[in-house]
Amino acid sequence: MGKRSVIPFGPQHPVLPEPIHLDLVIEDETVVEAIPSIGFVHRGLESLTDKKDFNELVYIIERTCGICSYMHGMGYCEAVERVMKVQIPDRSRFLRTVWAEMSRVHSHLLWLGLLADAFGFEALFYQSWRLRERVLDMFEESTGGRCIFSVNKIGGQLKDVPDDMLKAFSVKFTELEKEIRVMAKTFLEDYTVNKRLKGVGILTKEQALEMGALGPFARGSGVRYDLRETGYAAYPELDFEMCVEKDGDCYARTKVRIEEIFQAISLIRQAIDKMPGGEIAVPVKGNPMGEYAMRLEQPRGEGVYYIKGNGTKFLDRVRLRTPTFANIAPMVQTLKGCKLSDVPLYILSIDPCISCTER
Amino acid sequence: MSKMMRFAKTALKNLFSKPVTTSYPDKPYEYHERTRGHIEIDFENCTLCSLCSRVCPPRAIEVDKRSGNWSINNFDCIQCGYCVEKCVKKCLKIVPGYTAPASVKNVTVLHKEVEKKFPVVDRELCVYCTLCDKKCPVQAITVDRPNKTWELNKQNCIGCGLCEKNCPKKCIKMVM
Repeated sequence: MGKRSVIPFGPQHPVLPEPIHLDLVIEDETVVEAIPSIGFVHRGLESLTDKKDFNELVYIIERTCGICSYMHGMGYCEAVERVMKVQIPDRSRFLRTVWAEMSRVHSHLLWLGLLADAFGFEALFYQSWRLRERVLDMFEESTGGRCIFSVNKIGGQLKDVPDDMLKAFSVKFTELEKEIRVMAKTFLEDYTVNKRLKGVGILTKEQALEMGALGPFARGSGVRYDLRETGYAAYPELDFEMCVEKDGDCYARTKVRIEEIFQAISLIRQAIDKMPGGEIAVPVKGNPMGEYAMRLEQPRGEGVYYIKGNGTKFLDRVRLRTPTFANIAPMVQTLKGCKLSDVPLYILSIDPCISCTER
Repeated sequence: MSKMMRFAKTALKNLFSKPVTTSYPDKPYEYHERTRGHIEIDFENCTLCSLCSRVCPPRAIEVDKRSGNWSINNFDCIQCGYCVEKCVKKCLKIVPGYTAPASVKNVTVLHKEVEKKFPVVDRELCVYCTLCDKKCPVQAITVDRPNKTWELNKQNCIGCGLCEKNCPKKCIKMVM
């Protein structure tokens, strides 16, 4: 048995986009144990419930994170709408699906770039982010924001997207898909990339279920769990197949996310083709009274939005449970027994979003 | 070997194609029509009703009716557009162009003298539907339908004109 020592990892680390701290107990070069600690970007968003009314909170909840911001706003709005028994118009449901899937494409492309950066493939990193930029441009064109969209409101959407703009998006996504397919070959077939990803950071299906892994992290280990199948927004009217891989290694997670990009593009095209006309919002009267926990599938996994209203314009409680929080425990499990140089790659393979986790 | 050169084609293509980046700031960025850059106000139409400051999530807008000042801290503003949605007079709009960085975070202050207007109801036309009561953001209007009374609390009234706008009988007028 070699000498044990503790190495601090993070919160500031070149590979980490957001601050998380890990105490790595290592024996020679092998990690024996990893102790995570969070709390570096806590902003107290949930406590703002006392100060902002439930309509203003849409904009606050949306700013929980810069990547899945749209889904945060959407999850909160859907929860309040269910409490207030508001039926949003069909066009609004479809627009929400389009924007949510566009968020998934841009989040997964961002993650692919960060992964390439973590295993030292700079050119591939730039390539991923170059393609992601086009999705951001489409966001800016349709919503006015590149990362924070502010188009959700209780009862529907604030902005409509003209049909010709939606058709143009459909064409742009077809072109984008071709380029992503070329790039995906490097991730899935390149010899050096495969050497770095295959057979490392294994999380078995049993471990994933036991520790409550979520999203692509769990689906890469063979767990069939995708909240989109529960049928919120316009998903019941669209065809899609859950992407699941069995190996449970970093390669499987990468493959799940790449397949989800193509699936998201297909969903966007389907939603644009079936886009109904009509209103985008309904007037909402009164204040929320009652409680509801809305679950939806974010790019990183299941997000839970719990709200409790007391009949006034100020809610009693808003609680967010984001997927990264659930994924930290299984991630720590995968770290055990890995080499120190592989730690950044393993951490990135769960697609950590610390600002979501800490709110 | 082919598996080792997966990226070569893309790399060569990128090498001989035009750069995807633009030479900002020499070539200015072309904003999209909908880009949420900053808030602009048509101050002539503004009645200083202070609804925008009441709904602003970061409280970047401040309205002082007594001194006639309307101010916005562009560095606090999160460009959510909620004030634009709520403005009764439709004098606020969100336009492209981000706020330039500055070492001193200035607050834009606009000033004008406004004489406060209050709603006055034509009791012959009024059906006491209570819509003005429900729409009033500061609960300044109290309507009692059974007893047919319409009361205004002048101290609370902000003169926003929402009651006038929403009255189905058009029996409310804003007067000085």
